[in-house]
Amino acid sequence: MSRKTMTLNLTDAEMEVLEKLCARKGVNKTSLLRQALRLYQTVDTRIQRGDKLIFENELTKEKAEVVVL
Amino acid sequence: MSGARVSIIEGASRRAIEATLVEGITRKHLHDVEMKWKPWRSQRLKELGDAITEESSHWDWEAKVDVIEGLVSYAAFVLECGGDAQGIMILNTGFKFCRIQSQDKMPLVYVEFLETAPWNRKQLVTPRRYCRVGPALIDVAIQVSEQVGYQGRLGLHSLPQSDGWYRDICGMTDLGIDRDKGLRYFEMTIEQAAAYLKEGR
Repeated sequence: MSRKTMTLNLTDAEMEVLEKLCARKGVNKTSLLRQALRLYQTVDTRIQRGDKLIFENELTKEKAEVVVL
Repeated sequence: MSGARVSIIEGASRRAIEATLVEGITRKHLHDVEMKWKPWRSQRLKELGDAITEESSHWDWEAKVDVIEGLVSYAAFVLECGGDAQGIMILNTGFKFCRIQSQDKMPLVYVEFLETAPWNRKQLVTPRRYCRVGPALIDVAIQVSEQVGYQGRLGLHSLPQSDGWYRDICGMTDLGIDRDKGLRYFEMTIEQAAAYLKEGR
Protein backbone atom coordinates (compact mmCIF):
# COMPACT_ATOMS: atom_id res chain seq x y z
CA MET A 1 0.00 0.00 0.00
CA SER A 2 1.48 3.36 -1.03
CA ARG A 3 1.97 6.09 1.54
CA LYS A 4 1.94 9.86 1.41
CA THR A 5 3.87 12.29 3.58
CA MET A 6 2.45 15.48 5.08
CA THR A 7 3.68 18.27 7.32
CA LEU A 8 1.66 18.82 10.47
CA ASN A 9 1.70 22.09 12.42
CA LEU A 10 0.89 21.75 16.12
CA THR A 11 0.83 24.23 19.00
CA ASP A 12 3.20 23.66 21.90
CA ALA A 13 0.32 22.36 23.98
CA GLU A 14 -0.80 19.95 21.28
CA MET A 15 2.75 18.71 20.79
CA GLU A 16 3.08 18.15 24.52
CA VAL A 17 -0.12 16.09 24.53
CA LEU A 18 1.12 14.12 21.54
CA GLU A 19 4.48 13.39 23.15
CA LYS A 20 2.91 12.34 26.45
CA LEU A 21 0.47 10.02 24.71
CA CYS A 22 3.27 8.51 22.62
CA ALA A 23 5.27 7.83 25.77
CA ARG A 24 2.30 6.30 27.56
CA LYS A 25 1.22 4.14 24.63
CA GLY A 26 4.71 3.13 23.55
CA VAL A 27 4.28 4.26 19.93
CA ASN A 28 5.82 6.97 17.78
CA LYS A 29 4.02 10.14 16.66
CA THR A 30 3.12 8.84 13.22
CA SER A 31 1.69 5.65 14.66
CA LEU A 32 -0.33 7.50 17.28
CA LEU A 33 -1.79 10.01 14.83
CA ARG A 34 -2.70 7.25 12.39
CA GLN A 35 -4.44 5.42 15.23
CA ALA A 36 -6.28 8.62 16.17
CA LEU A 37 -7.50 8.99 12.59
CA ARG A 38 -8.73 5.40 12.49
CA LEU A 39 -10.56 5.90 15.77
CA TYR A 40 -12.07 9.23 14.67
CA GLN A 41 -13.37 7.76 11.43
CA THR A 42 -14.94 4.81 13.23
CA VAL A 43 -16.61 7.05 15.82
CA ASP A 44 -17.84 9.46 13.15
CA THR A 45 -19.24 6.63 11.01
CA ARG A 46 -21.09 5.11 13.96
CA ILE A 47 -22.53 8.47 14.98
CA GLN A 48 -23.64 9.21 11.42
CA ARG A 49 -25.45 5.87 11.62
CA GLY A 50 -27.29 6.99 14.74
CA ASP A 51 -25.16 5.24 17.38
CA LYS A 52 -23.97 6.87 20.61
CA LEU A 53 -20.46 6.91 22.04
CA ILE A 54 -20.55 5.88 25.69
CA PHE A 55 -17.77 5.48 28.25
CA GLU A 56 -18.28 2.99 31.08
CA ASN A 57 -16.26 2.98 34.27
CA GLU A 58 -14.85 -0.54 34.69
CA LEU A 59 -15.29 -0.53 38.44
CA THR A 60 -18.48 1.42 39.08
CA LYS A 61 -20.13 0.52 35.74
CA GLU A 62 -21.23 4.18 35.61
CA LYS A 63 -21.90 5.21 32.02
CA ALA A 64 -21.46 8.62 30.42
CA GLU A 65 -22.33 9.59 26.88
CA VAL A 66 -19.61 11.40 24.97
CA VAL A 67 -20.93 14.20 22.82
CA VAL A 68 -18.98 14.30 19.58
CA LEU A 69 -19.29 17.44 17.48
CA MET B 1 1.84 -6.95 1.98
CA SER B 2 -0.87 -7.83 -0.54
CA GLY B 3 0.39 -10.24 -3.17
CA ALA B 4 3.06 -11.64 -0.85
CA ARG B 5 3.91 -15.31 -1.24
CA VAL B 6 3.33 -17.30 1.94
CA SER B 7 4.59 -20.81 2.59
CA ILE B 8 2.01 -23.39 3.69
CA ILE B 9 2.02 -27.20 3.63
CA GLU B 10 0.06 -29.41 1.26
CA GLY B 11 -1.59 -31.91 3.57
CA ALA B 12 -1.35 -35.09 1.48
CA SER B 13 2.24 -34.74 0.28
CA ARG B 14 3.55 -32.71 3.24
CA ARG B 15 5.35 -30.53 0.69
CA ALA B 16 5.79 -26.80 1.26
CA ILE B 17 3.90 -24.80 -1.33
CA GLU B 18 3.28 -21.10 -1.86
CA ALA B 19 -0.03 -19.41 -1.17
CA THR B 20 -0.83 -15.81 -2.02
CA LEU B 21 -1.82 -13.25 0.58
CA VAL B 22 -4.51 -10.83 -0.60
CA GLU B 23 -5.45 -7.68 1.29
CA GLY B 24 -9.21 -7.14 1.23
CA ILE B 25 -12.09 -9.58 0.93
CA THR B 26 -13.52 -9.67 -2.58
CA ARG B 27 -16.82 -10.95 -4.00
CA LYS B 28 -14.91 -13.99 -5.25
CA HIS B 29 -13.76 -14.76 -1.70
CA LEU B 30 -17.29 -14.43 -0.34
CA HIS B 31 -18.48 -16.70 -3.14
CA ASP B 32 -15.86 -19.27 -2.13
CA VAL B 33 -17.13 -19.19 1.45
CA GLU B 34 -20.80 -19.49 0.49
CA MET B 35 -20.56 -21.90 -2.43
CA LYS B 36 -17.54 -23.99 -1.49
CA TRP B 37 -16.77 -23.77 2.23
CA LYS B 38 -20.34 -24.07 3.51
CA PRO B 39 -21.52 -26.99 1.31
CA TRP B 40 -18.26 -28.87 1.97
CA ARG B 41 -18.64 -28.36 5.72
CA SER B 42 -22.33 -29.35 5.74
CA GLN B 43 -21.59 -32.53 3.85
CA ARG B 44 -18.64 -33.39 6.09
CA LEU B 45 -20.58 -32.75 9.29
CA LYS B 46 -23.34 -35.04 8.01
CA GLU B 47 -20.76 -37.76 7.39
CA LEU B 48 -19.36 -37.32 10.88
CA GLY B 49 -22.79 -37.48 12.51
CA ASP B 50 -23.33 -35.68 15.79
CA ALA B 51 -19.76 -36.17 16.92
CA ILE B 52 -18.53 -32.74 15.83
CA THR B 53 -19.87 -29.21 15.63
CA GLU B 54 -18.25 -26.18 14.07
CA GLU B 55 -18.54 -23.10 16.23
CA SER B 56 -17.75 -20.66 13.43
CA SER B 57 -20.26 -22.17 10.97
CA HIS B 58 -22.79 -19.38 11.63
CA TRP B 59 -20.37 -16.60 10.74
CA ASP B 60 -21.72 -14.38 7.98
CA TRP B 61 -18.64 -13.03 6.21
CA GLU B 62 -20.64 -10.92 3.79
CA ALA B 63 -22.27 -9.05 6.69
CA LYS B 64 -18.88 -8.58 8.34
CA VAL B 65 -17.42 -7.14 5.15
CA ASP B 66 -20.36 -4.72 4.86
CA VAL B 67 -19.74 -3.45 8.40
CA ILE B 68 -16.06 -2.67 7.86
CA GLU B 69 -16.42 -1.29 4.34
CA GLY B 70 -14.44 1.95 4.01
CA LEU B 71 -13.24 2.00 7.62
CA VAL B 72 -9.46 2.41 7.91
CA SER B 73 -9.53 0.86 11.39
CA TYR B 74 -10.03 -2.53 9.85
CA ALA B 75 -7.80 -4.61 7.63
CA ALA B 76 -8.90 -7.84 6.00
CA PHE B 77 -6.72 -10.56 4.53
CA VAL B 78 -7.32 -13.72 2.56
CA LEU B 79 -4.86 -16.52 1.92
CA GLU B 80 -5.43 -17.98 -1.54
CA CYS B 81 -4.14 -21.28 -2.88
CA GLY B 82 -5.30 -23.63 -5.61
CA GLY B 83 -7.68 -20.96 -6.88
CA ASP B 84 -9.70 -20.82 -3.65
CA ALA B 85 -9.76 -18.84 -0.43
CA GLN B 86 -8.06 -21.02 2.21
CA GLY B 87 -8.35 -18.67 5.17
CA ILE B 88 -9.87 -15.28 5.98
CA MET B 89 -9.12 -12.78 8.71
CA ILE B 90 -10.33 -9.33 9.82
CA LEU B 91 -8.10 -7.19 12.03
CA ASN B 92 -8.96 -4.10 14.06
CA THR B 93 -6.03 -1.69 14.31
CA GLY B 94 -7.87 1.28 15.71
CA PHE B 95 -9.11 1.11 19.24
CA LYS B 96 -8.28 -1.99 21.23
CA PHE B 97 -5.89 -1.93 24.16
CA CYS B 98 -3.82 -4.46 26.08
CA ARG B 99 -4.92 -6.11 29.32
CA ILE B 100 -1.72 -7.90 30.39
CA GLN B 101 -0.20 -5.87 33.20
CA SER B 102 3.22 -5.49 31.56
CA GLN B 103 1.64 -3.77 28.56
CA ASP B 104 -1.57 -2.53 30.13
CA LYS B 105 -3.53 -0.07 27.96
CA MET B 106 -0.96 -0.12 25.16
CA PRO B 107 -2.59 -0.34 21.72
CA LEU B 108 -2.76 -3.72 20.03
CA VAL B 109 -4.07 -5.28 16.86
CA TYR B 110 -7.25 -7.15 17.68
CA VAL B 111 -8.09 -10.22 15.61
CA GLU B 112 -11.83 -9.75 15.09
CA PHE B 113 -12.35 -12.92 13.05
CA LEU B 114 -10.11 -15.65 11.69
CA GLU B 115 -11.42 -18.72 9.92
CA THR B 116 -9.80 -21.34 7.75
CA ALA B 117 -11.55 -23.30 5.02
CA PRO B 118 -13.21 -26.42 6.48
CA TRP B 119 -11.01 -28.79 4.44
CA ASN B 120 -8.02 -27.29 6.24
CA ARG B 121 -9.38 -28.09 9.70
CA LYS B 122 -7.82 -30.98 11.56
CA GLN B 123 -11.01 -31.85 13.39
CA LEU B 124 -12.92 -32.31 10.13
CA VAL B 125 -10.55 -34.17 7.84
CA THR B 126 -7.26 -36.07 7.63
CA PRO B 127 -5.17 -35.30 5.77
CA ARG B 128 -6.12 -31.65 5.47
CA ARG B 129 -5.91 -30.06 2.03
CA TYR B 130 -3.50 -27.45 3.39
CA CYS B 131 -1.83 -27.09 6.77
CA ARG B 132 -0.44 -23.95 8.45
CA VAL B 133 -3.10 -21.62 7.03
CA GLY B 134 -4.15 -20.35 10.47
CA PRO B 135 -0.56 -19.90 11.68
CA ALA B 136 0.26 -18.02 8.48
CA LEU B 137 -2.61 -15.61 9.15
CA ILE B 138 -1.45 -15.05 12.74
CA ASP B 139 1.96 -14.32 11.27
CA VAL B 140 0.31 -11.66 9.08
CA ALA B 141 -1.51 -10.18 12.10
CA ILE B 142 1.81 -9.81 13.92
CA GLN B 143 3.35 -8.14 10.90
CA VAL B 144 0.44 -5.69 10.70
CA SER B 145 0.88 -4.94 14.40
CA GLU B 146 4.53 -4.14 13.73
CA GLN B 147 3.67 -1.98 10.73
CA VAL B 148 1.22 0.19 12.67
CA GLY B 149 3.72 0.61 15.51
CA TYR B 150 2.29 -1.84 18.04
CA GLN B 151 5.40 -4.04 17.98
CA GLY B 152 3.56 -7.32 17.45
CA ARG B 153 1.04 -7.00 20.26
CA LEU B 154 -2.18 -8.91 19.47
CA GLY B 155 -5.42 -9.64 21.26
CA LEU B 156 -8.45 -11.77 20.49
CA HIS B 157 -11.42 -13.63 21.90
CA SER B 158 -11.37 -17.31 21.03
CA LEU B 159 -14.18 -19.69 20.28
CA PRO B 160 -13.86 -22.61 22.75
CA GLN B 161 -12.74 -25.03 20.01
CA SER B 162 -9.74 -22.82 19.33
CA ASP B 163 -8.68 -22.06 22.92
CA GLY B 164 -5.95 -24.67 22.93
CA TRP B 165 -4.67 -23.59 19.55
CA TYR B 166 -4.16 -19.96 20.58
CA ARG B 167 -2.65 -20.96 23.92
CA ASP B 168 -0.41 -23.86 22.91
CA ILE B 169 0.39 -23.31 19.24
CA CYS B 170 0.39 -19.52 19.08
CA GLY B 171 1.87 -19.13 22.57
CA MET B 172 -0.57 -16.41 23.58
CA THR B 173 -1.37 -15.62 27.20
CA ASP B 174 -4.77 -16.86 28.36
CA LEU B 175 -6.45 -14.18 30.47
CA GLY B 176 -9.52 -16.30 31.18
CA ILE B 177 -13.17 -15.82 30.36
CA ASP B 178 -14.16 -12.27 29.48
CA ARG B 179 -17.59 -11.97 31.07
CA ASP B 180 -18.68 -9.33 28.55
CA LYS B 181 -18.26 -11.75 25.67
CA GLY B 182 -18.50 -15.15 27.36
CA LEU B 183 -15.29 -16.19 25.58
CA ARG B 184 -11.67 -16.58 26.66
CA TYR B 185 -9.48 -13.59 25.94
CA PHE B 186 -5.93 -14.17 24.68
CA GLU B 187 -3.14 -11.67 24.29
CA MET B 188 0.29 -11.80 22.65
CA THR B 189 3.11 -9.72 24.07
CA ILE B 190 5.97 -8.21 22.08
CA GLU B 191 8.21 -11.05 23.29
CA GLN B 192 5.68 -13.75 22.40
CA ALA B 193 5.24 -12.21 18.94
CA ALA B 194 8.99 -12.21 18.37
CA ALA B 195 9.21 -15.84 19.49
CA TYR B 196 6.30 -16.80 17.22
CA LEU B 197 7.93 -15.24 14.18
CA LYS B 198 11.32 -16.69 15.03
CA GLU B 199 10.03 -20.21 15.50
CA GLY B 200 7.99 -19.97 12.29
CA ARG B 201 5.03 -21.91 13.61
